[in-house]
Amino acid sequence: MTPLSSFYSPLLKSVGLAAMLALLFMLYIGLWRDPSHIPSAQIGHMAQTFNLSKLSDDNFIALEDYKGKWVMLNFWASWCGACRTEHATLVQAGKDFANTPNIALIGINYKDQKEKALRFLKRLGAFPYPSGQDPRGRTGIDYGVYGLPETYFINPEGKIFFRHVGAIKLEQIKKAFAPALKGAS
Amino acid sequence: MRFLSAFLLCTLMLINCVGAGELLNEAPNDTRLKIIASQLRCPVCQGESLFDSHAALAKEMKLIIREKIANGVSDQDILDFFQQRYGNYVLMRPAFNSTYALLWIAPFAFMFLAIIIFIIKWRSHSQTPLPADHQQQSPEQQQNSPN
Repeated sequence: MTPLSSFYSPLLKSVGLAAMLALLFMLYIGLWRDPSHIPSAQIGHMAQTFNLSKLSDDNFIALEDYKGKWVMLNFWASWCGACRTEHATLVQAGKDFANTPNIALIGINYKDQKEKALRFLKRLGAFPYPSGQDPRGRTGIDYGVYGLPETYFINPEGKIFFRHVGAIKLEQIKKAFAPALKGAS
Repeated sequence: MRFLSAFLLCTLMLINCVGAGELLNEAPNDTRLKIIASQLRCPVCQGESLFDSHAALAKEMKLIIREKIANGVSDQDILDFFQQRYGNYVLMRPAFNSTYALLWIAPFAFMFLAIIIFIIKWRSHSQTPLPADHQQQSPEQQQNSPN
């Protein structure tokens, strides 16, 4: 072995070992990550305003109307399978928070037909909160929606502080609203 | 026969004219749409650009681009619009910033490391003396050898 290679050989072995350890460390970190957690570019940013026609009547629903409240914004559609799974949870959450003045729940009917959406609600039960219509998905694009269902939580300052992809659980909603409930009690 | 040849020639010329017309009719805004949409990733597809995607979401996003072009919005502002909503993931070429520095540097660093390892191994291999029975023999030695 030449002096040069005898000098570099332990160095290369160390570099290789360090790279292997780094890879193992990253894999270990990955084991503890929630695969349903998809980072949103909008966390910490102001929620996009919207003014949509309501699904139930001819009135409009705007985010501006909920200024100063903790808001849950749920994107749903009649064609979305996971939306059926979370439907009962959302109805329950709507009932649970109906008497909490600083909390508001809003549904956004995303890329759907009004008739189909109303039929869906008739079959599974209406939400105890209003839903706006987003037939072209423009509001969904404003929020960076990938696939349904997606739920966004907005604080009283109007900033998005949490986003959940997939069917949401009641515990997750309560956990997200924990600061609001602390303030209300 | 002469009539048939003339007819075929006219048909070919007409087809060419239609093709050229289509090219000329491609509005500058369509070119801009193509350039911008090619730089964006379809959020619901696997590694497909917005321009190549036929997904409903991609079509709506392309419509937004078209509207923004018509409203005089710059290319960078349109890219920023989607980046603000979908994050850096939506860009086909992630920006070179502190978050993505490793992503850009790592391939070159690994290539550099591989070249260094190759050079060192190659040099050490070429400088290692061959075993005695594999060493070059002179013609005289070859003649005297038992084989």
